[in-house]
Amino acid sequence: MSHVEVEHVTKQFGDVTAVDDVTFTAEEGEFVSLLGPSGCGKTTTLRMIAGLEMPTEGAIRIGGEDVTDRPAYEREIGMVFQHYALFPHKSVGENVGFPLKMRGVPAAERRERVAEVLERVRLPDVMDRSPEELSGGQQQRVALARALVFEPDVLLMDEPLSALDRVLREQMRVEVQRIQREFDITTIYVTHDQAEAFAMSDRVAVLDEGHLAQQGRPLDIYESPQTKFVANFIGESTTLSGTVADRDGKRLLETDAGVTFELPAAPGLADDRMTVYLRAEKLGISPDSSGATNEFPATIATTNYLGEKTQFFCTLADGTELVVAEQGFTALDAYDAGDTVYVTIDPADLVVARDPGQDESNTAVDESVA
Amino acid sequence: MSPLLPDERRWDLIRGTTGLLYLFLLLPLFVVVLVSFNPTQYPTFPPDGFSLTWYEAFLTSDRLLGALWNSLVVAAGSAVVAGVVGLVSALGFVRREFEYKNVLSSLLFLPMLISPVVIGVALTAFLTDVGMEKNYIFLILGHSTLVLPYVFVTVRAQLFGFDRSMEEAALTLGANELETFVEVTLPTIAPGLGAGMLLAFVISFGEFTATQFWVQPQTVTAPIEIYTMVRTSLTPKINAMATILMVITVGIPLLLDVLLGKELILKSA
Amino acid sequence: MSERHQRAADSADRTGFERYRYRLWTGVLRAEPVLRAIQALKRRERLLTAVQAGLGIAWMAVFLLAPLAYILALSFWQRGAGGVVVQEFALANYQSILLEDVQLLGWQIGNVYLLILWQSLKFGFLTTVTTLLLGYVPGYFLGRTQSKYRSLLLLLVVLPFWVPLIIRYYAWILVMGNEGMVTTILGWVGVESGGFLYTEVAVVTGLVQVLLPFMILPIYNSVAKIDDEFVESAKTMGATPLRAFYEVTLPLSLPGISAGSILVFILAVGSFMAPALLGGPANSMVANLISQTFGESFDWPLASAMAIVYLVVLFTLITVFNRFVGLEEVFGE
Repeated sequence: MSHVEVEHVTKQFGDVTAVDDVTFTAEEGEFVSLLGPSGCGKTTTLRMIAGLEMPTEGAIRIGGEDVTDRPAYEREIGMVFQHYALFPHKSVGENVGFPLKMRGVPAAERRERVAEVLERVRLPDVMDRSPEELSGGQQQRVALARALVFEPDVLLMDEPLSALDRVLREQMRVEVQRIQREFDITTIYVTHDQAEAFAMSDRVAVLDEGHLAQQGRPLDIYESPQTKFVANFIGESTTLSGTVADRDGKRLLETDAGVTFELPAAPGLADDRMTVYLRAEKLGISPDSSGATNEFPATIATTNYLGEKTQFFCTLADGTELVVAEQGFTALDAYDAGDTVYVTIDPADLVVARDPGQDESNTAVDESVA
Repeated sequence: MSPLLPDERRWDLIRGTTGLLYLFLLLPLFVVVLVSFNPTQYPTFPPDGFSLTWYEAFLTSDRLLGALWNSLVVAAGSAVVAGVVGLVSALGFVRREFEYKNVLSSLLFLPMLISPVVIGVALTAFLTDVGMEKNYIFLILGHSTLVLPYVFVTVRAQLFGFDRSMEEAALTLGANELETFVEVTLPTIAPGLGAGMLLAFVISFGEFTATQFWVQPQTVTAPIEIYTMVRTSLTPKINAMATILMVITVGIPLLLDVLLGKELILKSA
Repeated sequence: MSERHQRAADSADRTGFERYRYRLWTGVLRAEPVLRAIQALKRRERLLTAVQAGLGIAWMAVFLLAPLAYILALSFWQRGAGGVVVQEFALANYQSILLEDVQLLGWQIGNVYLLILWQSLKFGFLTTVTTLLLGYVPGYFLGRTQSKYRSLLLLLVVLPFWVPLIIRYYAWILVMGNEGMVTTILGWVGVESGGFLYTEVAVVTGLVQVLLPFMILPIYNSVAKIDDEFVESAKTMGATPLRAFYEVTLPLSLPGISAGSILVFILAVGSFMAPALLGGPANSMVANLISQTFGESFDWPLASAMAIVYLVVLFTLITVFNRFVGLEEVFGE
């Protein structure tokens, strides 16, 4: 039995389905991220776990207990909000002590526990300050301390780092992870930032327009995306679909774009419709043909030099667009718009999946309700 | 704003004009204070000397002190009633959606637009004909109606800027809806509510036009007494009384504001 | 309540005051009926809406709309002997104030009502124009100044609101009376005058001074919202400062101008105290006439008819204004 279980949860706001039959779990002490673009229903899902929204259908269990119908204040969850939601009229100490006060902890003990937890988030000596006097990163720590001080069953975080600037965000990423490990608390973390989700999480659940697209370890999600959406959302990739054919003992995928790939020994029979996801950074580019397997010609449309990497936006013979990314590329002068280049990919790097083209039935979701 | 003047001179001109208008706005009130210390029978300018005679006359007049007390009771009562009604309806108008919201919210501003004489006459006719006596309650009901728009508009403004995730945070931290309201919502909007109620207090305290129809001899308020004195015998007691009223409505709130160190009034301006 | 709640509550070792406070706390805010009421209200969202917004609406319905409806009815009834109201439907009151010459306390009410209504609108117009001319400069100054005293200066504009209106008008008696400040100062430079009280000038001056903040504040608001870049960019395109003001600042401050003007006009037209304290018998406005008819000659039906005609004229004007500028600017969210 998992510590947090979200089972077939659906949330409708009027005619809009914000979350549609989502099921996932988090184990005791595990760090699970809900990842997806804005409007995918991740925040609504988190708010249902918190008890701030009631699901239209489905069940939520925490520690084996069904909490679906319980209001937020009877759920024992700690939540960190996007803009921290610290109470401006209370001092830092009163903010952090608030959940203890609500649980009838006497003032003296409250002060002790608040001091202790502030120590643990490395923010001592701010008890009597107003939260408004603190920096963004410090407010973040106060919000965390407040959500942890009463030893809740689950920690929920809603894009907690999005209000910070980039450098601080990356520092806090490490810090949040450290605190989560130290408190050993089951954590569900909402973000739209793939790097953030991958860096911090044990497992990631990717949401797409209210549906759960995939749940798994970051590695699995990256290396074997199960839907076109996941493949495109996690990093840049190009999707080509085609029909499987067996020729000369090799299994080939003849794509509609006119490019043929040699597939590794993978599922799929002859005449099946299959799709390959070509990760931009797994593609190679060269001005001349080397005759390798899985090499095909393309025409450069635009080149973007980004410093750490360079993006080539190319077109295939039939007009299909393709992105190639090269790390630490310096030979920029060799490539001009309009040049014909040869793109290669190692068969092992090909991500192949059943063509999802026909059975996509997603409903549109309005982010404003989330 | 002549195009011939250089920028700084033009700005000096604007600043100078503004200064003169401040004088126009505030000087007459200073004259009242100044003249209140004048010993002679007729209010003259410039004052002939310094004396507290008229303050003494005011403070020994049971009639005037009674009127002051009536004003304080009515103003405090109206501020509380309008505060509660204004707060609750502002919550409804900001946080909920319903039909005809705009039309209905303009209903709450109506007392600002209609002449207080009309409201005074209409409420008098209505309440006396349904059998109500002209007592404190009558006055508080009337004044609450007149000042409700001010509380409503200030609380509403405060609620628009309210981050509701703070309430959600309180819920997740173990407070029920009522505790959340008491611990988080109310303290956060307190400045707006306080400012609105203060405004309600001072407006009710100084209201004359509608009040003249609502009083009976036992409930005569301070502004009514001033009006009577102005119309009958321009006595210098008026100046002393006016100065004391200004201390109550302007001086004390400002002093409290600074002393309590919150400086809500000074900052909100 | 979860187990953990309960445990913490039971094991807590409290001091006397704290125990008392905690009991009060849980006793009231967590009482079973309270919790049940909360849950019931939460389930019935519309009921909660009705209770909240409904309170203010109901208040206005009872203490404003019902009295107004009542005087509407009164206005069609008649004054009987000794001030008693006779509930007999007739248009006599409207006839008398709009069409006939009626004698009342030695006044010709018929012509007088329309004359005084007209005079009220005239005073309202004069006051509005004057406050606009006077109020724009300080409004502009406050909206543009970089001074660190800006909030203090704004406070000084707001403060007069807190002074009882009667004192603000009374102050002018001291300033403009026959031994007042102005007379005395004029006397020093050799100009003899008997003061300026009880004239049209006195009434409008009083109205202007009292209503000026209602003009300054909205103008300040809209000028403060104008981005410096607009003015700067107009200048880079070759506009002289005056031209830039005329082409950019003035049109962008129009919302404030119209909001202030409507407010000042409405408040001026309905004024009772300015004419009562600073004006002579010839400077009466409609509020004074209604007050006199109601309070001194005890003709409630006639006073009601006067109030109704005034309201009809006022709301017609507001509606026309609203066509052009929109009152949302004044009371909008």
